[in-house]
Parts: sequence; C-alpha cells; structure tokens
Amino acid sequence: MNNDVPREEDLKAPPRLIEALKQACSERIFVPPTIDQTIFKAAERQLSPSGRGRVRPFWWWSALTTTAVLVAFALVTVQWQRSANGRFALEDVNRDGQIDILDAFALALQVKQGRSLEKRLDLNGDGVIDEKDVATIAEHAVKLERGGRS
Amino acid sequence: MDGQIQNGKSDQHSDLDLVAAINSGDVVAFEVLYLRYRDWVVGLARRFAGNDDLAMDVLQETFLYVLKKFPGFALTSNFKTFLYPAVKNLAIAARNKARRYQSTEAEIARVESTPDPVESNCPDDLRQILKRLSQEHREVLLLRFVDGLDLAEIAQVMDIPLGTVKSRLHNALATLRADPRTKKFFE
Amino acid sequence: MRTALVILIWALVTPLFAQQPANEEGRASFRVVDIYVDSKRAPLAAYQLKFSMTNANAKIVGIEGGEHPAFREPPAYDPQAIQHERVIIAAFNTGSSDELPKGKARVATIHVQTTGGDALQCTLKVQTAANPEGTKIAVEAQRLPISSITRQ
Repeated sequence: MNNDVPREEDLKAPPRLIEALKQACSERIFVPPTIDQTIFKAAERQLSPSGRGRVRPFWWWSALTTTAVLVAFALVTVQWQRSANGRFALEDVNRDGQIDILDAFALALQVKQGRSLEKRLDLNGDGVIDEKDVATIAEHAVKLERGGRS
Repeated sequence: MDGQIQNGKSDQHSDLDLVAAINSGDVVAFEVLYLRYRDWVVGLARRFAGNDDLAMDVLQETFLYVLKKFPGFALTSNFKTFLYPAVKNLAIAARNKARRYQSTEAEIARVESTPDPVESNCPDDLRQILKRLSQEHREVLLLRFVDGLDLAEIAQVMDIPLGTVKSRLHNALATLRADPRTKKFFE
Repeated sequence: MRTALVILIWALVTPLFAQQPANEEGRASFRVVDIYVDSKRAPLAAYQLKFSMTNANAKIVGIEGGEHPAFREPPAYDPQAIQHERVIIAAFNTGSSDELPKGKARVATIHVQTTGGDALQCTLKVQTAANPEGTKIAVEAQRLPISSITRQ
C-alpha cells in the first residue's frame, strides 16, 4: 500500500485539460422562472418581520396583513412582469418577464448586427456569443416543463 | 455596513455581506445570493440526481433549506462548501425516492456510469474517460477544476481527510495522463 | 446449396409477416395538421404556438417547416414532444420585411398518429409573435387537418 502523499505538482492540471473539463460541465440547465418565483416568495415569507415570529396584537396584525395582501396583489399583477435590477433570468433578453422565442430572436438580431454584447448572454459558456447561444434560448423557450406530458 | 443591498450594486457584495443583510431581513440580498449560486446548484444536483426534473426539485429544496437558517445564520466557509453537502444529500434522496431503493455509494457509482445526456461541448474521449473514473475520483476532479474548490474545501465537503483528497485527485489525473485519448492534454 | 437458398429466402420473407400483428392492435392513422399564422398586414418575423391534442390515442410523430421560404426550416420544438400529445413550436427569421410573410402563411406541419376512427381533437394557441423589429404583434393561428393516411 502506497502511503506517499502526492507532490503538489502532481495535483495540478494543464490549462487545456481544465478548459475541457469546464466545457464538459458547461451545459446550462434551464431553470423555469416559476421556480425562481417560488423561492423568492418563500424568502419574502421567511424574512419578513411577521415571518420571524414576533408577537403582535391580533387586531393590529390583522389590519397590517390585510393591507399588505391588498398592496401585494396590486404589485404582483405588475411587478413580476417588470424588472428590478438583477431579477431577470439570463435568457430573458428582451426583459419582458417571459422566456420565449422573442428572446432568441432579440439575441439573433443583435448577433447579426454585430453589436457588442454583455458577457451574461454567453449562455452556453463557450466564451463566444453567437448562434449557439441563440439556439440555447430557443431550446428553452419551447421546452415542455414536464416532458411530453403534463 | 448598510443592511440593505442597493440596486445595481449586487455584484460588488461578498457572500458574507449578503448573509449579514439577509439576517437583517433583506429579501433582495437573498435573491442576489440565490441567483449567484442557482446555476451551480442545479448543475451539481444534476450530477447526483441524474436528470433535470429531479435537479429542479433539489434546487428548490436546497434553497428552502438555506432559507430556514435565517435569521441567525453564520457563514464560516465558502458558500459552495456550505451548499455542497446539502445539495448532494438532497439529490441522492430525490433519486432514491424516484427509484425506490436504498442507496449506497456503489449504487450511485453504477448509475453514474450509465450514459449521460448528450453534452455537446465535451469531447467524446474525455466524457468516456470521466465515466470510467470511480464516482469518488470524478467528484474530486470536478470539484477542484470545475467548481474551483481548494483541497481543504473539498476535504470538508466530502468529509474525508485531506490526504485522501490528494490521493484521489492524483489518481484521477494519473488516469487521464495515462490514457492515450486524454494524454494530449498533458503535452 | 439449395437448402441454404431456401433458408435465406425464408429468413427474408418471415419479417414481412411479423408486421401483420399491427392489425391486431387497431388500425393506425397518420394525419397531417397544417399550422397557419395570419399576421394580417404585418410582416411576421417570429412566432411561438402551443399545439395540444385531447384524443386518447393520438401522438405527434413528426414536425416539418412551412411553405414560405422564411419558415421553410422545421421550427424549434422539444424533442420530448415526439410520441406525446402536445408541443410548443417556435421559429423566427431575421430577414427584412420584404423577405417575410404577410397575412396568412403556413408556418409548420405536424404529423400525427392516431388509432381508432375518432376525429382528431386538438387546440392551437398563440403564445407570442413579433415583427422584424421584435415588437409583439397580434396574430391568429389556425390548424387545418388536410388528409388522413391510413395504414392497413
């Protein structure tokens, strides 16, 4: 049995191998926005003052939550369709709150026009923003959420 | 430090800053932290769970588990180091539930060896050889060179001695170096 | 030599008879469903539609492109939709307005297999559409079952 501890230089990998390994694992998996929203809503419930177990007089708490529900209802009908900074999915190129073929189309137009593009649009992680990233968005746009059957 | 994460400056905040803000009830800070690690978690979940649908379930469960730590959560290491065991355990549990049998590392290694979905960016040779590595060797290799964890962090997340990490990494690299199909990466 | 020839002929002919059990399961019908999008007077640069069938034994077996050159290539769709009852199809073209269809155009054809003689029941919903500038436009989608090819 070999008890020798490997030398540090034996634990290094050449840059080409590292690049190949990263490419092997670079395929991005599409996360439906509904999952993001589920997490965000859970965060709001957990982190809001009422979610942290503070004791309040019932009547005051009822009035507060009723008001909050009405305000939240009004906001939700608009807010999830709009953006706050950093809340858009990467694939939502046109930032309309939906990931669909129009996002692939928008990126395709920008690629065709040769515009300088943000790094975040390199969706397949290959270092280049091109038709492959457009195809990545298109694939996500038409993906059935639960395979071929609902 | 201001407990509120300012719009437009989220990328400048460290994980520690975000955790502190979340402990103060800052929902935006949690959203930033979530988006920062979401893709890594779902990729890792897919490695263990074997398919995208289960990976999505694991993603949700992981961050709901993280949420329950607040307020009062103290980040004492790299956030990936904290997430890794949770993701791995949840993914294994999800796959067990889906398959309805008791899991062992050997079973996981067996399932890991079945063909993965097409990875169009990966040279066929490298993909085939990665499958030939044992699950333990492959995981150390990917944690080190894809996920960017250092050796001490790998030891922590896998709950194995540092010497074992070094040994597994050395063996994994030796396998790649010796195989004629991947020898080219070392030349 | 003669024996070998007889065996060879038998080996070639037998599989033909093996296909006949399909009749025991019921007659399979193949239908083509043409998908049209009517953009009125606007040039159609992109569309996304959802096609669903409610027949118990219907499944999608193929998807083709349309008639207009801008949408002649097969649209994007989830491969998992094949052999199932619903699909989302989408396509775009970055050409100029002159190169794009206006009005009613066949953008895709979906091939469907059903068993039994029931009429095909399906729905088609527009999810989004846009003009060459990427601006959303209102369109109507229509599906036309054209023919039924029955395999006996």
